[in-house]
Amino acid sequence: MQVAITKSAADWSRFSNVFLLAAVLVIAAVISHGVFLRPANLMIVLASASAFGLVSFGQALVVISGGFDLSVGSLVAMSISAIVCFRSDFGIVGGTLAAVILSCGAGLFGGFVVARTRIPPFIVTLGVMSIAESMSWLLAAGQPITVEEYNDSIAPLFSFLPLSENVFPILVMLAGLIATSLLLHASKWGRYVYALGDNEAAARIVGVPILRTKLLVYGLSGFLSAVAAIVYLYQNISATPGEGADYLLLSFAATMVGGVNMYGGAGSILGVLVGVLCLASITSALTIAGIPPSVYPGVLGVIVLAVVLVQARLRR
Amino acid sequence: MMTLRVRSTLRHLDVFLILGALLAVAAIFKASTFYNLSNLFAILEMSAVLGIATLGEALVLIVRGVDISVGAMMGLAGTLSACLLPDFGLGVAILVPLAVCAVLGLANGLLIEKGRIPPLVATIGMMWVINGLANAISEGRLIPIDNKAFQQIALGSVLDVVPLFFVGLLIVGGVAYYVRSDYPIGRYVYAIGGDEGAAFYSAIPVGRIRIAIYGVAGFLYGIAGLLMASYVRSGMPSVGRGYEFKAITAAVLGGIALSGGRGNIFKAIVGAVILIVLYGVITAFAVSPYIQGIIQGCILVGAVYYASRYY
Repeated sequence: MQVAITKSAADWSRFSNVFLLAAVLVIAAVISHGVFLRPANLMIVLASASAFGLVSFGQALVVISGGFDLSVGSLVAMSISAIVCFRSDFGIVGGTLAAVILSCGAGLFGGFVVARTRIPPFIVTLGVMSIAESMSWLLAAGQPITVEEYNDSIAPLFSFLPLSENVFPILVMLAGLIATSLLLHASKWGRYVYALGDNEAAARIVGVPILRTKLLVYGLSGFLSAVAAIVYLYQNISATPGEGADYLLLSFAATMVGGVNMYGGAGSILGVLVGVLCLASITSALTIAGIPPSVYPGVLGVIVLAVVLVQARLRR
Repeated sequence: MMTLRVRSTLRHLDVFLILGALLAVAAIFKASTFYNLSNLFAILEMSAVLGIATLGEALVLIVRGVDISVGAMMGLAGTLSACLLPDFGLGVAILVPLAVCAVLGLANGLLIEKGRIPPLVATIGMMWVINGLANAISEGRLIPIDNKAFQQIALGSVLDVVPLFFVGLLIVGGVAYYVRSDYPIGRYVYAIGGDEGAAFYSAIPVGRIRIAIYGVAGFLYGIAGLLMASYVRSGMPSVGRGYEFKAITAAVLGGIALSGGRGNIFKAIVGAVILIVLYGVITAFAVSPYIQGIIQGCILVGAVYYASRYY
């Protein structure tokens, strides 16, 4: 009986994602008087979802493993600054590498501390967040941040397509989606992540390599943050230090709306993609409707709380 | 035997030792820039702001929660107050923001206790909602405060150097210290954090007390926000940005256990003073202010690590 209830709840929540997306698309279309549904706009929405989608996939891995990663937004900011800082000495390739190494390193460090001490994940990643935010200011050293290289070198590759500017971000998000899905749903490491999030003590007893699994999820989250920084610079070219911190909010919201269990142990990357698309659609519709951007966090907050309340009710 | 007693005394006084060491460093190297009237006043004023916020956060941590909405509430209180001041006068501009913050705090508690949402998720969600509210009120702008009486709130002082609110904070901390062990409500609060199940079966109204604690915490964040607004003479939604982090760091530094049920309110306030004095010392040494975040992150993780090893 208990199993049956859980199963129907699971079915409901699987379809609820689709319903949710459909509902959001309809609402978005109504708010924007149909502008939202034009193909050009849909493509722009997809592209705008790219950077925070990548961050959200990383966040989802961490949440499924039973943790929280509050550092993702600041790692994006740090990566942006690192690219600029190291570009002057090592060129754009060197700068990119340095950013990836730094961001990955920060993620791995967080994972190591989470695995090896009894410090709660949110405290560890809060510490990493604070350090990364400072680093983003220190590395930028007060210079304005402008990086044209990505856009200049990558955009022409797709110039034969309509709206070619948006192809690269969408492709990167797709790659991130496929890679994290394969890892989570088709490899033994994915099983470890679920086991860890479901019951860490049991996972330890049956021989799940706790340390390596945590290093994997937190390190990957850091890596995806660095990739998101590259996509961000491709799209925006310039940035101010500390920019990208909003991705924490967005990734968190996407993970929750996407049906990932906030206690860990359940959720899917496809669900998170639905969450990402929902949020991107809502943001786009609000923009078209002319709502001031400073109010968006409030709207997202209400949505997250509502979804989480329903989720908590279903679990009972 | 002797060394044991010395060691345990040292552990009881650890925060005071750190504070003393910091003040000594400032005295030895930067006496003239650190120990002047205006700098000391600024440090004590910011200590009062952070101390009041830490008080709320510490209460929440003791009942085994956590509150990330601190900074957003502070911003909302200041913004609301700046908005109300020109039209409704001082009384309304103080009471309404405090009431709103208390209600939002209660909403935090209800989401956590009745909605069964983990405190971290609930208060992060509320943080965005509150921030959105503040931004909607101010339309994202800074609202200057011209009201002389309101500006005076932060400037009231004892002997020209100790802000009144700092004195008040110390008194509240001292009272909280006695309430902790000598009154039922203090023991209830610690019991809930220590072992919720045991508290429940001892007929302690766990849910109601926890919701009330979040409400009290919201009220305290409101006071901190108003004090801040009075000090910077403006209301701005982002003024409290990062304060949730500072308040948690200060509380943990003061020995409040993240696992709940343990810690001394008064020491948490001293933890807040330590953080602010540390920033003052960093500024006095003219190191890049961006170093602050790095130091703060290390302190937070280090303090929790220390606590997880030794308590």
